[in-house]
Amino acid sequence: MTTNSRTILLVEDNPSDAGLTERALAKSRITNHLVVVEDGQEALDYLWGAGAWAGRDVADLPALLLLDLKLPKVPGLEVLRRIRGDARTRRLLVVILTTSQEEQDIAAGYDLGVNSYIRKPVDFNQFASTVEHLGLYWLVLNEPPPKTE
Amino acid sequence: MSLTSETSPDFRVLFESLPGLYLVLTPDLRIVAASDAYLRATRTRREEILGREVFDVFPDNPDDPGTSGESNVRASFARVVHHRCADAMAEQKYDIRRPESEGGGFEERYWSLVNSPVFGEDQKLTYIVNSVKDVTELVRLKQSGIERDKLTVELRGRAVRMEAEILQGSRELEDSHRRRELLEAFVEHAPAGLAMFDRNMRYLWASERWLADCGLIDRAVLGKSHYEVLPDLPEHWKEAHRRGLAGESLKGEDEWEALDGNTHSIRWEIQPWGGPGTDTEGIIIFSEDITARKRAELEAQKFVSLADHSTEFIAMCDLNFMPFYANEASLRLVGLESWEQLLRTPVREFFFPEDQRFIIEEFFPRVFREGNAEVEIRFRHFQTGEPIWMIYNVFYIKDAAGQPAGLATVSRDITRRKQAEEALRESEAQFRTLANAIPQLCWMANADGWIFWYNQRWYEYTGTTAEQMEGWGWQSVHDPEALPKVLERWQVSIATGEPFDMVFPLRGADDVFRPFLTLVMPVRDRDGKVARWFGTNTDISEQRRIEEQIQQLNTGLEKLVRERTAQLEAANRELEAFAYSVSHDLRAPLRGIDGWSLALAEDYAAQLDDRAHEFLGRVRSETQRMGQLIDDLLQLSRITRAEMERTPIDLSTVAHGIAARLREAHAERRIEFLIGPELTAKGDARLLEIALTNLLENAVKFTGTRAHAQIEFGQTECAGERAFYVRDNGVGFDLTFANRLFGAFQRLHKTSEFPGTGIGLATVKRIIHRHGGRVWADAQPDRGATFYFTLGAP
Repeated sequence: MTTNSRTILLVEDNPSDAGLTERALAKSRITNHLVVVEDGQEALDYLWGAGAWAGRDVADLPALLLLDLKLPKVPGLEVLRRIRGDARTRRLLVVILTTSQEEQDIAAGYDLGVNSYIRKPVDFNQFASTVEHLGLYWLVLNEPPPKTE
Repeated sequence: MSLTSETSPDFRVLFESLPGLYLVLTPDLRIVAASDAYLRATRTRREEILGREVFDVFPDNPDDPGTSGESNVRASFARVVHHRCADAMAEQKYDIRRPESEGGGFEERYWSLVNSPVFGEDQKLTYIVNSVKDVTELVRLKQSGIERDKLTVELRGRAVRMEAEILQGSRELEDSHRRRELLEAFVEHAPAGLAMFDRNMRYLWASERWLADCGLIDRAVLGKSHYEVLPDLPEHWKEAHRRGLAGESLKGEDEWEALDGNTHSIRWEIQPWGGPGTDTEGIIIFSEDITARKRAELEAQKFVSLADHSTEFIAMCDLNFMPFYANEASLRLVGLESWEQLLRTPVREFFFPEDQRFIIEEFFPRVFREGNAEVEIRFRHFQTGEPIWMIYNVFYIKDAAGQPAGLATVSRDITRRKQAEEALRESEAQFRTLANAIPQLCWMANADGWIFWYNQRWYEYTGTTAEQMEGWGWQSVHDPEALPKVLERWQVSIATGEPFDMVFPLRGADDVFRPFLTLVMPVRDRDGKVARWFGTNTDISEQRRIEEQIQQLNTGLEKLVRERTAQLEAANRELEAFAYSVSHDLRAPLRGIDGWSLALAEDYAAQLDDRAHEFLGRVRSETQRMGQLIDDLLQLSRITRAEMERTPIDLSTVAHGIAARLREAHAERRIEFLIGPELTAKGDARLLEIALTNLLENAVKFTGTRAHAQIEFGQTECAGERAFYVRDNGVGFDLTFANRLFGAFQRLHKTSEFPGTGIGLATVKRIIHRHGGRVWADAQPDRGATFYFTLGAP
């Protein structure tokens, strides 16, 4: 598969899920560097070089943000809202990867400008396949947005 | 009239030929003369009775022990002698002896008698003329109750007439010399027309009455032929004369056009006359103008007929207040059984004892004073004693001389009217009691709004008096602020006749104003004009209070409902949050278990033996089953909560879509879907697709053992309702367990045979119920199953 140096930021508070996602990405031969943060605040800190991520080059935006919705501190949808509200991250590719199938969550996600909404299947094989499709599409097929000025 | 003829008429013959029944007696009651008619009627012969005492000739009937004939008639003669005036007996039973030649014994006879005195020049009583009339037939008729009224008229007329005749005639019978003169005078002045003719119909003699009737006054007729004098005499009269001259006695009635041009009714008799032992020497013609009598009888007859057929109470009584006439209706009304009973019953007995003094002492005198009088009074029914209310109208009747002769009444039964009045009075009294008893205030006003009556409650509530309230006085208990509007509306009603309906305050005796609902209805007369107003005022303060209470309770209730709704909404939100948690939090560990089991199997494949791999496979399949369970539960919960939106749906198209997916998912199987065309319905598209998916998935699942699965979706009629069905040729099930079919987690098959969570049909049932429809199943083990559902009213 394609090798990409650009980072994938995974916001996931469940280490098991994070591990599985990492494993799925690996199985799909997506070699992008994976950064896992465990809550919404940390995700924002990473993007904007704040908190524990102070000093990080904020110009180096992740190629893809995989966002869970149920997160400690700042919930997933709020993270999305803030990302879309900031000029630096407005065009960031965000894919909600969640267990929730609630319509209101899906609707709210799209309203806030999410690029894709993916439900995590229970079956790992299916999950792995999903992650593979996801990576292929967003990181290879999809033309990434130009960097914001 | 002067007797100027050379031929002296025989007055004895004349007397004896008179059509009436006359007997002339000496004061010691010896018979001196009798008319032929008398002899015929009493079946006696002149030579046998002349000179004998009258009661010797006419003894009482020894077979009739109750007879009073001789004593009554003897008393009558005694009265004539004593009072020196005529004595009449309207009706006396006096049987006569039948000749021995006819078997002897007595014949029943009734007589009407007039005994008249005849005085000589010295004013001494010389004769008594006994003039009688056989009324046997009439009495019998009367006894049979038919012609009693005719009798009354007849008897009176007869009696008066005969009396006059006899008085006139009998004076002539003093002695043989005087007798002739008396006879002359008698016949001359007799009220009847009499004429005596010889064999050639020449006038021998004629009475004044005859001459007058024939228009022959002042004409010398004696010795002239009757036919010469009256050349236009009808032929049948001449015929009668010829028969008389041949020795026949004739009588009859006829119409006669007199010279005055009027038609007269004439009663006539022709008697042949002649000396003893000789042939007929001529005829005597007796004629009587009965025109007036005829007319009177006719009138009387009309009256009697009218009275008899009248339904009014018509009756007459004499001056002693003894009845002598009453019509049928009267007898019926008071329950008298017969005419005889009536004649015996004094008028006073028609009344109740307490009314009798008034009638006799006050009312009848008023009738005599004023000519007539009227009173409403009760008659007493003679049999039942029941009161009969009458308008008793009485007038007195006069005789020819203008003297009161009795009383007559034409009265009317008003019992019904009285009862109606009584009922009205009672109902009025009841109404009044009611009006005073009802809790409302009520009142009545004239058409112009002037109030003339209030019930007791009005005065009790307002603490006012009738004097204060009368007319428009009610304004004093009104709220001055509300009064102008009340007056305005009330005036409009009075002007238009429309009912009045308004709520306004009225001041009570305690000075507190309370709201009253006032309704006023017009009472209209027959022409539709308002005759009066009937108003009620209902105290609605209590009602108002209750309404306010209800209002408060309602407000409280609404608040409660809002609170409860909020609580329920909160609970619902919690439930949603819970479902969200289930969805998110429960699935995540499952994915972990599955994922890491797989990781173990993959990364340590070499170290694990087959058994370990099998165990890991079990871990994974169980994990996936639980994931499915969670998904299904979430769907069931979402279905319950989801908003419904009914739109027209083409279920055929939906079913085709589902079928395509299922065929693809089970590509290895041979599944035939038979989907009816144009199965349209109204419902929630998303929910119905879920239901249909569940049903079709089930059908696919339970036909898994069939080489050729057939699944049908169609519609049918069920109890007048359209039902859709999904039919398969699968394993079916035992209907005994069908009641468990639609419950959540209920399964009829082993998981090893047919995997499933047991939530699918529960979901279907919820969806159908939310549409107001029904769902049921029909199946047999191994013979397929059919699931039916309806969608309720669209």
